[in-house]
Amino acid sequence: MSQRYRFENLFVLIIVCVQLIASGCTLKPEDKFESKPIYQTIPAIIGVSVKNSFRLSNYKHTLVDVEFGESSVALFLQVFESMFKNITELPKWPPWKTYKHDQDAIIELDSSQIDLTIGDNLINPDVVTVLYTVCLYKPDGEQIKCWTTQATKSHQRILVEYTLVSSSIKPIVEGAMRASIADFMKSFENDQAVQKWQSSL
Amino acid sequence: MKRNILIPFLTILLIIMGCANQKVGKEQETAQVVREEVSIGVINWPSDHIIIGGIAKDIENCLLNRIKSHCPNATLFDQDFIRDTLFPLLEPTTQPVSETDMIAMLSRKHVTANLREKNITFLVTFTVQTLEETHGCILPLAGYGAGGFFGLMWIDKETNISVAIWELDMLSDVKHVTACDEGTTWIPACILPIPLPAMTLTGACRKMTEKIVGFVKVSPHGWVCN
Repeated sequence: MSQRYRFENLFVLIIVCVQLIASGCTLKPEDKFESKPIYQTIPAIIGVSVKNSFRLSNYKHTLVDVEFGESSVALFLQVFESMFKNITELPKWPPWKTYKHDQDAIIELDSSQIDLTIGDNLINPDVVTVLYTVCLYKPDGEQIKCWTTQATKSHQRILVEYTLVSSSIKPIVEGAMRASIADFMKSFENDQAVQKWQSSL
Repeated sequence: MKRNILIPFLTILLIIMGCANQKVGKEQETAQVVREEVSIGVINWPSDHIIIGGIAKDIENCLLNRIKSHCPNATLFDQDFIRDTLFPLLEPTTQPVSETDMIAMLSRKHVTANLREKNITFLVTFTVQTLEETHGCILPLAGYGAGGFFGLMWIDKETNISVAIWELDMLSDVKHVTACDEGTTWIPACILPIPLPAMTLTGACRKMTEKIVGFVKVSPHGWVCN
């Protein structure tokens, strides 16, 4: 075996090792805010319903899995705690629309979606898009309004980050989640349907 | 024999880098925070809506490191920490769009309470811009049995950093400072191009740090800086 052939074998082996190591990492985005989110609290008692599809929304890729749904639920619950005087998470069964409620309204985490484009370490950045749909209902099940918010974040990896796909993606996933939640809070605060509902409390 | 040692070593190193680094983050930052009398928060504002990292992150890190070396008794907070403390008010889609809006935001009861809880005295907001102008050319040339790149390129770079310093007890008295650094990146090519980069980011950051520290020095908290 020639020296050059052995060197090429070693190089291929290292590349294969790098790919194997980089694959299969699971990324769990941060699910807690450092401080209580800032919001002018609405004096209302709210029931929170989380659809299973929202909670289980994850992203699977050969290089990285993103456990996105559970973290999103945890962040939204903290946000709702700031937004409303009191919140109660409703049981999964029976469905909340099938019985009467004492709360002033029901807020439902309806759907969540994450799209991830893995770039490279030269000219194509990693891009993450996060989308949430959240709905507010009267206690009798009548819909007050739904909001769909979306945020995109990107980051161009550089040479030394080549093998660190999951840790390089983590800040953009978290950034997109936070931006999308912030957008929801802003939309909720300024919405006329919400102000009308608030005045009826 | 050497190869046998190298492969397991690389494998272990990459496992550590690939997976363990995910946990780097708030725990470490929080651990470094020691409550002192003066705290300075550094944030990029107004920040980019989409791109994370890049030149703004480089400047943030540079400013934090250099201010810390001048003011060892001050506690410094990076922008992730500040954004988290003031969530959702400093997210790209919800951030204030003007200085008047910023003053209104910083005057809000909950905002003031959250910042006071962290003992933050100064908020340093910055924007950064780099202008580049390329000259010259490098051409690929090939002959009998040989080839490569030949020529000369140079890129004139100018980095501008603008900073607003907000003393939280005197919000209406915001101080503005700017710093600029110019340089030329040379790329001579003889078979292979060899870039000789101009370090304008570092230069502008150094000048800006001196101005920020100069401002903190004349404040009632000046004792924290050398």
